[in-house]
Amino acid sequence: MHIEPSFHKRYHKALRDTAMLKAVKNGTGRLRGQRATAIEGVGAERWMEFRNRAEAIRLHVIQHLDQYLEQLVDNVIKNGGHVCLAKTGEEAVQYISELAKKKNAKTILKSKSMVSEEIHLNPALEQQGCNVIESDLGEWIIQLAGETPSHIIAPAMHKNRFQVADLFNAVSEEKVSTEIADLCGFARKYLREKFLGIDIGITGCNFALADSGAITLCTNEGNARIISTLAPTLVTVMGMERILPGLEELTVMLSLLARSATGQKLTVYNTLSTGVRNPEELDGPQEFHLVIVDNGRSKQLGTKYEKILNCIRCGSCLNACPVYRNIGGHAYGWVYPGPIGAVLSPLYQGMDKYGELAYATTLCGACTFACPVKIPLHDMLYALRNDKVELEKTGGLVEDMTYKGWSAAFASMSRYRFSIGMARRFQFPLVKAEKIAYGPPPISDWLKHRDMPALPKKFFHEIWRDMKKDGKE
Amino acid sequence: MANGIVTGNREAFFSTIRQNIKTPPGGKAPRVENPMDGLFTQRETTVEDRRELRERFIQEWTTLGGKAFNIKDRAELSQAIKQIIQERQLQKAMCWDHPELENLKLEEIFSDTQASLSRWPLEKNYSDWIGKAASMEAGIVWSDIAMAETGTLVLPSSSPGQPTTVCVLPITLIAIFTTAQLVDGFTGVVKWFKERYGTNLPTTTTFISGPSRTTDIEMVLTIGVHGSRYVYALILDEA
Amino acid sequence: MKASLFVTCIADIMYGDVGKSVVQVLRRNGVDLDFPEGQTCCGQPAFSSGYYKEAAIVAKKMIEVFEKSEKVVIPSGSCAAMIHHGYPILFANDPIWKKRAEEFVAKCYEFSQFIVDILGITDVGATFPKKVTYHSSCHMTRILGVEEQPKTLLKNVKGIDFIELPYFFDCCGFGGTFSMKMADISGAIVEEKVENIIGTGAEVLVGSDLTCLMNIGGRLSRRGVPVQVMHLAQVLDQGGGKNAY
Repeated sequence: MHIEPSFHKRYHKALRDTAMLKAVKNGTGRLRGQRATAIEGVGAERWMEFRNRAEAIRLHVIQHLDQYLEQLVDNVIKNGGHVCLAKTGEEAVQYISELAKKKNAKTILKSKSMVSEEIHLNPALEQQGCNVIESDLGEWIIQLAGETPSHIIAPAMHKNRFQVADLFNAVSEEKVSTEIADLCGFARKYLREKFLGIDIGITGCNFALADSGAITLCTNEGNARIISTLAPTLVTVMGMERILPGLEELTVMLSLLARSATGQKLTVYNTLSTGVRNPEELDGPQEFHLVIVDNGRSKQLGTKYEKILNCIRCGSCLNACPVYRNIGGHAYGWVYPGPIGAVLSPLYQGMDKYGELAYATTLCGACTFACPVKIPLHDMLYALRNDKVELEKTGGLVEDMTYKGWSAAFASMSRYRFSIGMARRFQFPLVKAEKIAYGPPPISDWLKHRDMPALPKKFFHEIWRDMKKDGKE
Repeated sequence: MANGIVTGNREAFFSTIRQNIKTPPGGKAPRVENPMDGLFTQRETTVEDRRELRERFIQEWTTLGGKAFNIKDRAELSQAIKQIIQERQLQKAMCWDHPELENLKLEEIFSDTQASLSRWPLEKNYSDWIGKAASMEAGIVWSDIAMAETGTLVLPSSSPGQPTTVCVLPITLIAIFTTAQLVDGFTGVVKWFKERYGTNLPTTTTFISGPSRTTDIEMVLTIGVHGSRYVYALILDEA
Repeated sequence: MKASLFVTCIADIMYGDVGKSVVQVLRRNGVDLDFPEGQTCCGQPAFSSGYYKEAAIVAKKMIEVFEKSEKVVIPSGSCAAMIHHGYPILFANDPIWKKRAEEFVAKCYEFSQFIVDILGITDVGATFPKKVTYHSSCHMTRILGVEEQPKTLLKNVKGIDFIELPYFFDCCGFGGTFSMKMADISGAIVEEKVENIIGTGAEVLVGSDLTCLMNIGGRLSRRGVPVQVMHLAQVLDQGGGKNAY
C-alpha cells in the first residue's frame, strides 16, 4: 500500500474526512470515558499504586531483558516449541514464510498482532499463495478494506456500520444488513468456517512469561484462543520487549491493560499457552513457533528512550491525545499512531522518515498521565525535537534563525525591550479595533483560525514604572 | 517431549542486547518483590467469606452479561440445567471428563430431556472429533477457581479430559463450581497455581470473564462474536 | 512576605493589565513585591522546539536576575512548569549551573500556588458576580501539579457563579509553535474547547495561562462569541477595595 510521505499532506487529508473524524471522536470519547469510570472504581490512590508497581516491573524487566529472554527461550524449547530470534522484520517474515511453504499451508488465520503489521507479514504470505485471514473483527474489516489499523486496540474505529456492511456484502453470498448485530453475526459464521479449516495460526503476544515459557493472549472476542486451540501449527510473533518474569507480574499487567484499554476489569479471554500439546491431548498445537522480533528495539536499550519499551499497547495515550482525536490514526503514517506512534516511528523507522511526528503534539502531557506504565511520552517528544536540532544540526532553516535571534535578543534586557518596542511600533498596518485578524507568515498561520490581540500601548515594565512614579513604591 | 530448535544467531542476538543495556546511575531497577501486595484483596478463608464472594461473583458475572444460579442441592442443579436446555433449545452438549462433573452425574439429568450429553473425548482423530465438536451447542466445564472481583472463571487444561475446545467452540458455555472454588482476587488464583503447578503450567489456561464481546463496529457493544454468546455459572453450595 | 514578580514575556508584551492585577492582588494580601529589571522569558519557546542551547542561554540569564530573590511569583502555570521541569533537563550535564538552577527552581511558584500554599490564603476578598468557568492548563496541572488552588480561589470570590467546564483538563490546542506549524489541527482542537465553553453558558472564561487564553480568546473573537476571557489575577482583583499602591 502506498503511503503519502508527507505528514502535512496526510493530516490534511484526514482533516477533510468528516465521516472518519466523527467515528474517531465517538470511539476515543467512549474509550476514555470508560477508562475514567474504571479508574474511579479502583480508586485514584490504588490506581496510582498499580501504575507505580507496573512501571517498576517493566523497568526491571527491560534492564534485565537479556536474562529474561534467555530464560524464555530455554523454557519454550524445553516445552517442545521452536524459537526464531529475528534481528529484523525481514528475518521474521522469511522464517514464517518458509514454515508456511514447508507445511504447504493454504489457510492461515491470524489474531491481532501489531508486530506482524510492523514487519508486513501478510503481503509476504499472500504472495506465496496463502489465504491469510485476520480473525479479530476490526482487523478483518480493515483487511477487507485494504487498509491498516487506525487505532491500537480498535483497528477499524474510523469506519461506520454502512462502510462495514459494504465490505461484508462484497464477500457474502447473502445480503447482510447494516444492523451491527447482523454484521457481527455474519463475521462469526463466515470466520468460523475458516477456523475449522486452519492450517497455520498466527497470533501476537500480549505478554510472554519467562519462568514458564507461556504466552498470554488477551482478546474480548475469543478469536485468538480458537486459533491457539485448533491450529495444528501455531506461530506467535512477539516484540522482544513483551515479556514478564512470571504469573504474579502478569496479574498486575492484565488488571491495568483492560482498564486502560477499554475500562473493563479484565479482558474477557486471557489465555496462557505453553505451546505444544501433550501426547495424550487431542487439541492444542502439535507444533509451536515463537518468533521474537528485535527490529529496532534493542537500539533503544540504554538510551534516554529506553522506557518506550515499557509499553503494553493499551492505546490509552491515543484516546487521551487531542491531536489523535482530531486526525485519527492513518495520518501518523506507520503502524503505531498517537503519542506512542509519534515516539516509536522516528525511533524504529528513522528521523528522516518520521521526524515530523515529534511536532504532531501540543506537548500537553495527557499521554504521559494516561500511560498505565508511566512512560514519559511527552518528555520523549521534547527530546526527539532536541535530537533533531542537535544531531541533524538543524530544526529547519526558519526555526534555526528564529531561535538564534530569539536567544540573542532575550538574553539581554535592552535588546529584548528594543525588539518588542519595534514590533509595537510596526504592527499598526495590521491592527484593527485592537486586534489583528490578517497578517504575513508566520502569524498568518495563527490567524487562520483565530484573532490575535494587538500589542497594547504599554508593556508591563512600563506600567510598573508608572506605578512607581505614582510614589507608592 | 523433545526439545525445540532455536533458529537465528542466538549469540549475536543476545550480545547486542547485553551491549546496549546500560546500568543507569544508582544501579539497575531491582525485581519487584511481591508485586501483587496490596493491589488485590484476599478474603476467602471461611465458608461465610466465600458465600459473600459468591454474591460478588454473581454481581460481576451478570453485569458482564452472564447468568448465574445459586444451587444448594441436586434438585436445584437438575432444575437449573433443564432450564438452560429449555432456554437455549439445546439438542447437543459436550462436557469435560472431570471427576467433579462425574460426581454430579450430569448424564442422568440430561437423560430425561431432549438434549444429549457427550463426554470428552468425542472421538480419537481430529478429522472425526472436530466436526462433532463444532456441532455442539453447549460446552460444560468445571471451574477449578472462580475469581469474584472480576467475575472470572479459571479453566486450566489440567488433563487430556479437560480440553480447551469444550469452552472455545460452543455458543453456550456452562461452568459449574462450588463456593469452595471462589477466591477474592488474583492473589488466591496465583497461590492456587503455584501450589498446583509451580512454573510447569498446563498447555492452556483460560481466564473467562463473561460472554465474548466486541465493540469494533462504531464502538457499540455486541455480544458473542467468536466465543460464547450465552454463559452460565452454576454455583453449588459447598456445604 | 518578600517576593519578586517574574511577570513572563507574554504578560509583559501583550497583557500588561494582567501584570498589574497580579501586583495589586499580591500587595493587597501583604506581599512586599519587587520587579527585578532584566527579566525577559523563561526560555520555553526554544526549549519546546528542541533548541536547548538557546533556551539555556536565556534560562541562565533568568537565574542570575532572580539570584537575590527570596521567592519568585509567576502568573503562568506553563512558565512555572518550564522552570520546574525544563531547567533540570537543560542543565543536567552542567554541575555548576545545575546547582544554581535547583536553587532557583526551589523558590519559584505559580501565582495561585503562591497565594494558597505559601500565603495560606484561600479567599482574597474579591467580588465578581458573574457566571464563570475555568480552563485548566495542561502544564500547570500535569507537570507542575497545581490543580485545585486556582479553583479554590475562584470559588471563594463573592457573588461568583462557578460552572465546571466539561473536559476542563483537555488541551486547548495551543502547544507553542504547534499552533502555527500545524495550524489546522490546532484550530480543530481549540474549536472543541470553544464549543465546551459555549455549552456552559458562562459569561467569563478564566485561566491561569495567558498563552492558552490568547488561543481560546482568539478563537472566541474570530467566531464572535461574546464570552469574556480573563486571567485568574484579574478576577481576584475585582471589587477588592481600593488600589493597593
